[in-house]
Amino acid sequence: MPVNRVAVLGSLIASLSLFFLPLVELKPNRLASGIPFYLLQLEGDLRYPVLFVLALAPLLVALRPPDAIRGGLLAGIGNALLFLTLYLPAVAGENLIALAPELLDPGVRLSNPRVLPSAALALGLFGAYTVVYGGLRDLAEAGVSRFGRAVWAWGGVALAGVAAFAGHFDVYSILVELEARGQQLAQRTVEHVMFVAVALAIGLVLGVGLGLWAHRDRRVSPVILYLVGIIQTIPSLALFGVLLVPLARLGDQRAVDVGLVFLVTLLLAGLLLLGFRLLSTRLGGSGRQFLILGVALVAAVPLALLTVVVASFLFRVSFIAFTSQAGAFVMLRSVMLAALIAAVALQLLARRLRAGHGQRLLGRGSAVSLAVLGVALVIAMVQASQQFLVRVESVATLTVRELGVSGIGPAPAVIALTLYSLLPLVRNTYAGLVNVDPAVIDSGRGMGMSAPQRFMQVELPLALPVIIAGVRSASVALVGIAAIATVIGAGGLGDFILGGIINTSIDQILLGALPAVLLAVFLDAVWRATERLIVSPGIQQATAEGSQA
Amino acid sequence: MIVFERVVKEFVGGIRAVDALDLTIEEGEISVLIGPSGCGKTTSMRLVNRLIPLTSGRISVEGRDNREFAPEDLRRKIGYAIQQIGLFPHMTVRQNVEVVPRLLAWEEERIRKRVDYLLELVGLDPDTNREKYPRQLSGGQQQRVGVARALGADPPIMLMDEPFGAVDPITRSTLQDEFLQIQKTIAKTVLFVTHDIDEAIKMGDRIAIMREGKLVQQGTPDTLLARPVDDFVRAFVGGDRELKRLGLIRVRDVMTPADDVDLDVREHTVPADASVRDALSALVGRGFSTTPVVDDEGRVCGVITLEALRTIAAKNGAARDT
Repeated sequence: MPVNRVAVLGSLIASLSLFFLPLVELKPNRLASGIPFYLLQLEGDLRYPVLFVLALAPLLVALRPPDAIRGGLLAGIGNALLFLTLYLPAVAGENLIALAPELLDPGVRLSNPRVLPSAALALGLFGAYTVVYGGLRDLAEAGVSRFGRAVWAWGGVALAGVAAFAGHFDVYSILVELEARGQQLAQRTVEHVMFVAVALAIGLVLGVGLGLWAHRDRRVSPVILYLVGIIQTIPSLALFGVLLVPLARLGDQRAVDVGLVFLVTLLLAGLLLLGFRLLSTRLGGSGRQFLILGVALVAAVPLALLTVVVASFLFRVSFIAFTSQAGAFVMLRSVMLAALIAAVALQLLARRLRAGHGQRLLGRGSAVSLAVLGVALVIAMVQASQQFLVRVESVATLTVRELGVSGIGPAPAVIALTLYSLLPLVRNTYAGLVNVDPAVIDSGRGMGMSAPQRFMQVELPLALPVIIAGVRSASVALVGIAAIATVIGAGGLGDFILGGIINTSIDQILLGALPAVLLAVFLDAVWRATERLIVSPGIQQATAEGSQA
Repeated sequence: MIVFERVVKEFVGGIRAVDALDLTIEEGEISVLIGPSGCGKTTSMRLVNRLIPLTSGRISVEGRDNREFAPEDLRRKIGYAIQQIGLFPHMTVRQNVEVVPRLLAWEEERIRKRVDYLLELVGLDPDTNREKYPRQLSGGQQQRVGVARALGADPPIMLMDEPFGAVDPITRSTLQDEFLQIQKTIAKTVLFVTHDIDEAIKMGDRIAIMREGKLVQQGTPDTLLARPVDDFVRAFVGGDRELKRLGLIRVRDVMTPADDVDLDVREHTVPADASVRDALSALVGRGFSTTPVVDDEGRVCGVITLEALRTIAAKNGAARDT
């Protein structure tokens, strides 16, 4: 393929759009519509025609025989075109703004007049980068190093970045908008990142957990996969709406009551499950399951009563402990004592197990470090909760809403986002584990790995690439869906986008959309890097080997 | 030693994969379990290290019922190599071989030495291969690592399920020869499962033929070839069993010793370690009635004649008929 068709395409896109489409639009303020200007309409500066020359030049260069020189030329021209397509209209824009009172309708209010980049600018940039890309392909074929190619690939973008920081692009409307609302943008971006991060963290625990469960138990796997699949089909707007009522109701409840109910349910379920398991392993057989179920049900009533008593007692004690300074101190001391005893016990247990079975349950010293960690954690938690609770006059009358959970705002946003993250996480965890070669698992078993060892040393490392792929697609999707959370008053970058749509202000929309896009790209890159870092080279996609050969 | 006593394995649905199996795997020998697909040979093997629980009967390993051990402890004492190899693709060769020693919490230094020793034993240079990943190895090399891994913690017993099954015939033959060589020094008690009668005859000190979960016949390769108990065994060992028997005899043991031989066919010789079957093939192929035999250093140490071979075959036949 002697002609570089990619570069020809880029050149055509750039030159045609620069010729025939409006380059910028002069706007008197944020809302009013402006007057379009074509590149050909700009006069008084000899630099403007350079854009045409640069846009057409790749057509000639592309005809050269393919080699490193052609690649370098194309990439160089493309980068120059890229930079100048941003820079020259900005120069022109400054002149236009200076002349704005004469150019614009005198009836319109001038407030922060600005230049809106128009079609030729966008397509010009696209064409320029297409030329760069065509050049990079030549360079890759000619065997130029990765670093060299990276310089060519990002040179123009880097230069534009420098120019932007130096203030050369300040006439562009989006930067004018940024100037006016930078503070707000930072705040919304932080909110957006928080939504995604919190939802992803919870989703990771829940999703990977459900994926493991689905893999472990063949009977529940269709149910789990079906349910998380269904969640994905609910329109995000509807999900936010559906959460509104129950969360609003929940918000009216007293936090103490909700906590108690939650705790009791959890303990009860745990006890029942444990009892069920113990009984079924003791007895075995399928016919006895009804008997066990019966026993469990009969036992449930006294168990429930007992749990309620114990739980409410614990609650009251902990209230006294947390709300008074002296109480906190006593609590701290006893917790540390308990941790110390636990550490010693763990150490002894570890030794016994090692002696008994010739196996290492806990590494040397890890029990101690675990205990130290535990103590530190408990101290931190006690102190944090103490500070939090002491501030509040009467903890017992605190409602859930006062804790920050209500029908609108961040709570439903995080819940909905968490639910959306589940499908890729569950599905990929499940698929990753199911697709581990059975022969590998069999040899792990045959060599004497226990089930947890097999999971940690074999199944998880082998499923990891697929799981990380799930995390990656979940993060990227969440960045997008989080933008919708603005409709329930949660904030985030969606505020700008929705506001921009209402005001028909493209600048405002872009101000919200661009950081979201960058965030998504950034997260994607972070997860890719993580994958390279923690997935064994033995199972990574074989690119390194290919280049060696 | 592994002893099966009235071992039964019944799967869900009442299918008896193993039916009242009595079998003894002698100490320090390679015992081959062979039979057509679905005869229960692999199931029997997996009962030994309790990858599958047995329904009734008893399997004792080294004199103790294998249910006395925790399954993991039992398996760590028994080497395990399978046809699909099942190397851990995310671990290097070294990490693969280290698995069982690490499970047994060996000292670092001991593990390091053991890995190098094992890699050399199976014919892989430790320095060039230690840090490679399985996908960087050929099929034959992977099989070698599989064997080295099974020998990881120096288990007295090895279970091998068609361990050389996944490679081409030439590599397989080499691996078989090498394993026989290794077995001479390590003398493990090996339960070797295969469906290939040639492999069984080559590898086995003793062969047990199974059919539909039952033991049909057990004995040395020669016994099996000379006196098959029924038509099933006769068909299984093949119509050329007399030739196969000749394959069990070394030329060294039947040649006429001589310091020097006055023959004009001295460039056509057979090695003393070759089987009589190969010698016969050489004689027939070249159209000779006699050919010199050379030792390891290439010196002529005797002759072998068609006549002598015919006598051996006749003796074999007489032994069979009595």
